[in-house]
Amino acid sequence: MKLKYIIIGVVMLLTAFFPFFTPNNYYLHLIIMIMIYSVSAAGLNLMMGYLGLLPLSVAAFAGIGAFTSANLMIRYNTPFLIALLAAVLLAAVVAASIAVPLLRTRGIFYVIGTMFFQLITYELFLNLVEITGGSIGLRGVPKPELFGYSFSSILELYYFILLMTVATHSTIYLIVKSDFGRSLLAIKENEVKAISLGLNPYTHKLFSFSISMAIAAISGALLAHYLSHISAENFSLLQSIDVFLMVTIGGPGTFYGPIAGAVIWTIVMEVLLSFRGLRELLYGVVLVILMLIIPKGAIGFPMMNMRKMLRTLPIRKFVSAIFK
Amino acid sequence: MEILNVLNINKSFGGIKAVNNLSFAVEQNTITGLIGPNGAGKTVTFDIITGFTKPDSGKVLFKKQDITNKQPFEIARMGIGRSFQLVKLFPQMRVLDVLLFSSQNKLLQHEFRLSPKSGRFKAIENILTSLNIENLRDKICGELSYGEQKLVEVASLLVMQPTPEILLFDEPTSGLSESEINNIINIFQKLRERNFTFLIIEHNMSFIMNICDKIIVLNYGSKIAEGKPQEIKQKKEVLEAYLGESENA
Repeated sequence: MKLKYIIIGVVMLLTAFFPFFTPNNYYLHLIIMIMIYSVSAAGLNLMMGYLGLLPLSVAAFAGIGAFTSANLMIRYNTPFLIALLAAVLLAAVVAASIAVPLLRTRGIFYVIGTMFFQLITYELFLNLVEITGGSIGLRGVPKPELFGYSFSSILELYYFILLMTVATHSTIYLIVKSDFGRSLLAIKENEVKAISLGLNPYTHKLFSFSISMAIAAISGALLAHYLSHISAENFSLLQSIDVFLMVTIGGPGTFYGPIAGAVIWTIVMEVLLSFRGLRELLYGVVLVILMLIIPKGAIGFPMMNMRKMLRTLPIRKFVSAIFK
Repeated sequence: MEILNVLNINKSFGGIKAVNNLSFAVEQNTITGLIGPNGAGKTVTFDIITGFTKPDSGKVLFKKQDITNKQPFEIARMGIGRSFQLVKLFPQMRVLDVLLFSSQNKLLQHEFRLSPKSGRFKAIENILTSLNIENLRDKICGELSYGEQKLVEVASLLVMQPTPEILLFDEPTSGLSESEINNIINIFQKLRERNFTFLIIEHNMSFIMNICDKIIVLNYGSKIAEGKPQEIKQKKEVLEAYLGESENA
């Protein structure tokens, strides 16, 4: 496992010194977006990968976080950290309150329930013009600041968001490696057995959903203050599905998976940008191929036995199923 | 002292009476066997005791306390550990993680606290050594053999916090080889010396006759006999339930 730490060290060094190598700000922007996405993907992974329940409401909570924090800073000049904290708390409370009925359902009903919450919230974002600016959105969201120092240039923003991302991921790391993280895995693997060993699955699901959605709110708030202009379109069902895809591509249930997924997803989307109308179609094709080649996600890829993998490649089954 | 009392429990599924006015008691520090033909209601009785199924009527007392309407996880925390007929542990977790999970205090406020795990590690090591399965520590549960999984399940009950006082085993020897069964017998007898109480469902007669202090026989959800293994062997009703009615009936 030494290789793992070398890779992590190299990636961290590269990220830290990236602004000194980059030819232009476009790449800085790309990395910032990756970092923001990786936060929401890691949050979703807590539910989807560790607990095994898929909420399709990440973008809704990111939106709640974004609009709360943006409004507090625009209207009341609230310091950034307090606005962020309020956004996170509001998201956690809303999540807990919708979780009470939602967690009584399971499987596909849970997914559909969260999806409806996402759709309703999107409509609210569109129609609560006073707060969200409706379809035009909010312009001029202040740049983040810490103790009076405002991060306004892209270089400053890059390091600020890097700091926030590292802080969030470290917190998530502590959570998944704690007893709580182990309990979530146990619920996913065998809920009845976990209960028989004395675990209350209900509170664990409730907390996990709250934490997961609060992390989505962090990423939403970061997005709002970085882009300065947000609208309901940033927080639609499509975005929720994108985050789900990032986790799937990267490897659900692993700590590094969602981060890798956010990187791959963003790069693939950027490469496909030149295909314009064909983008979604090609994206679907790339996704199907990725899932066939690496069903356990990108993070499981290096651990796979290459020869065995080639022999049992699901893509062969897929092809033979088509041409049968 | 009677640690577990089952009082007049009834349970029907649709028109089928799974448990019919069943009462029995389990003495502390004994091994009690629950036997009967397939469909006699043994597993349903276990589910009722551990709270996974609610009885239509009747009561379950644990240490004189009514646990009939408690949640399964509350019952587990009070000190009743159980195994399942089909061992399905946590297929993708390491044995060590399973035992760490089992040994943690599952009240939420404890779970975020960064407590030193050394004491728990030590307890786990001890249990693994006493069951002679230290070598499984870092293996993935899904990759273990059936017999090994059963031992890990036993270990998970022993490290559980708070430590259970009574252990309910649902067919602990099914699917095991002769030597593995002997190993289980040894383990159970050692555990009884450590003040555990057992309630065991079993089909393996030599095992149950060998190990139990008392046997309860069920048929069609009702108790048809209760007593020491030697007495049970002689009873006409038990033989009939197992072998069918005698010819001249």
